[in-house]
Amino acid sequence: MNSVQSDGRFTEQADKILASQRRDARRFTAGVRLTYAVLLLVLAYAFSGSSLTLAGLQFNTISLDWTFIRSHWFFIFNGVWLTILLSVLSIALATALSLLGALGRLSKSAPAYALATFYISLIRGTPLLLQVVFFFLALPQLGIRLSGITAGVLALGLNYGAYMTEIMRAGIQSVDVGQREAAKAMGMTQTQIMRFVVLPQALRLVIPPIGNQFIAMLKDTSLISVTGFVWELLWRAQKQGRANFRSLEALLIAAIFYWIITIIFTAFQAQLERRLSEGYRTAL
Amino acid sequence: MKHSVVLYLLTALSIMGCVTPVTPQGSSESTTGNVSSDAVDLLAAILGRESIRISTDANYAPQSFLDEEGNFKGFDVDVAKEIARRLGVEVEFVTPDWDLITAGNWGDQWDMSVGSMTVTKARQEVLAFASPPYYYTPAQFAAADDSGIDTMADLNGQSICVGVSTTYESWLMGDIEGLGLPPASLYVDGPPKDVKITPLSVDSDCVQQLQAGRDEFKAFLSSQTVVEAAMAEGVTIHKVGTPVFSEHLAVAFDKNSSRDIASLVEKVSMIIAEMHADGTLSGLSMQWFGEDLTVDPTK
Repeated sequence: MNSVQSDGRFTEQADKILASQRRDARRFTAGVRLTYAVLLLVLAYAFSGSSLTLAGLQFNTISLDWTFIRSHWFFIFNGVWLTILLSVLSIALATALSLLGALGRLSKSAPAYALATFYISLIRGTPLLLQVVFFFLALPQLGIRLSGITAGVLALGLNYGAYMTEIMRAGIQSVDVGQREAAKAMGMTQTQIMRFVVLPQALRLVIPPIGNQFIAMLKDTSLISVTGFVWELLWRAQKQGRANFRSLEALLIAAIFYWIITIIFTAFQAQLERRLSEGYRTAL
Repeated sequence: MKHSVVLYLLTALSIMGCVTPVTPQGSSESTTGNVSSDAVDLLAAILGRESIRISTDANYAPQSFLDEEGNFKGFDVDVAKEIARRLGVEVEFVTPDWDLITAGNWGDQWDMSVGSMTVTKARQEVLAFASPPYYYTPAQFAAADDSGIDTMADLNGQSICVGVSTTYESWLMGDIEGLGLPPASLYVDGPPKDVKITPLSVDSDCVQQLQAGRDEFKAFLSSQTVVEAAMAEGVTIHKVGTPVFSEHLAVAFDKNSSRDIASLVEKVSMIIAEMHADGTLSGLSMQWFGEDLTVDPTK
């Protein structure tokens, strides 16, 4: 900037730029909301059951049995709590496993490294659905009889744990090496360094991606429905749908609830991410 | 410091997640809460814990389905409740998928199946059946109204849908011997010629695919009761020909149970014979099917 310009003119110009930026942002937000509304209306219309004739062409929409929906939505909705519970338990198990996995991955001990990489390779190399069925069907033959929930949580937790190991490893490695050196210079042991210096800092970085995994998990819990023992959202929808020959309606009800809980948890996650980045925000 | 607290909490939660048995509504916890887990005899174990776990496949109305409140309803469900009542125990329903039930090796997760299961030779290798059967259903072809399939002859060369692991699938594949049905219950010489079999996970999926207007197949083979339930729901299908065979449907037990099932099979068989004799089964059949399906058609 030219130093000859007066302070007054400078701020006036800056204000104008800021105001125009804000106006653009407001317009953008309004545009997004409007488009959302239009898309929702189109989606709702697609399931209205009415048909529309435009320029001689007839467009049919999907017709639903509203009597069935009114009488059965609540039973299906009740699966939401179990879906959330399954996700919470599984993500907790996955977080613990991924932490162990990451420590193993970064370990200088050969067996620990091999164990961690073997686990990751085995789990990532096989489909999640297969793992769920395997836990449910194979373990009873060894005399380990897990309930559908425990088998499901174990399978989901092990699976996500393997994928999340990379998240944890990245989190741990992103802590500056100087931190470790300083801790070492202070005479801390390796365990103390991990526990008091590295992990607390790594956690801030890994929580947002773990939240992301949690949101993915909310939908993957539906795979547990194949065991037949766990009455989560999809299971409930399938039973009510098949017995009444109304699978389309029943699945739509489940889809809507999956979507709603995902929206809610996505909002939570955004909030969490904002809070965790407070104090670390780089000056603009 | 605050962060490490969160971390401990997460870790603690995950460990709890592994070991705490969580029993939600409708699911069964099989290893815990068993009063006489050391009992070798299954009947004694059931009487000891005062509850029997019965598997039911809640995909079939009017045999077994869930109402709006999530209560089990249907013919099979009522028969199961009555058997439990006569045993003097509570009934707990579990809901594994159909092919898990027919495959045997239940791993003691439930005690018996009251699920309209046909007694077949193949199934008898892994399962034991109560005798007599508790009712009999005819197997019936049905086709979409606009399919142009009206007679048995029209079925030749068609694609036909069945529920996976059902007797209808075995019969269509020509595995008459594996079915091991008494000759008197086979009403026709054999399945239609050159058919392509489309197995879906449950019979009602066949109905719904037709209803949705899919044309990978135009006909399906299932229990007459399923066909009639679908027609009552307003699905535009019709019966094709007369029933092709009749099934003996019986209560089933797992031969690979870790406990001795002999006395339970004997006791339940006795109860079913009583229920035939005192008209309980006929009454339930009239209530759910509108006809008495409890008379052996081969006799």
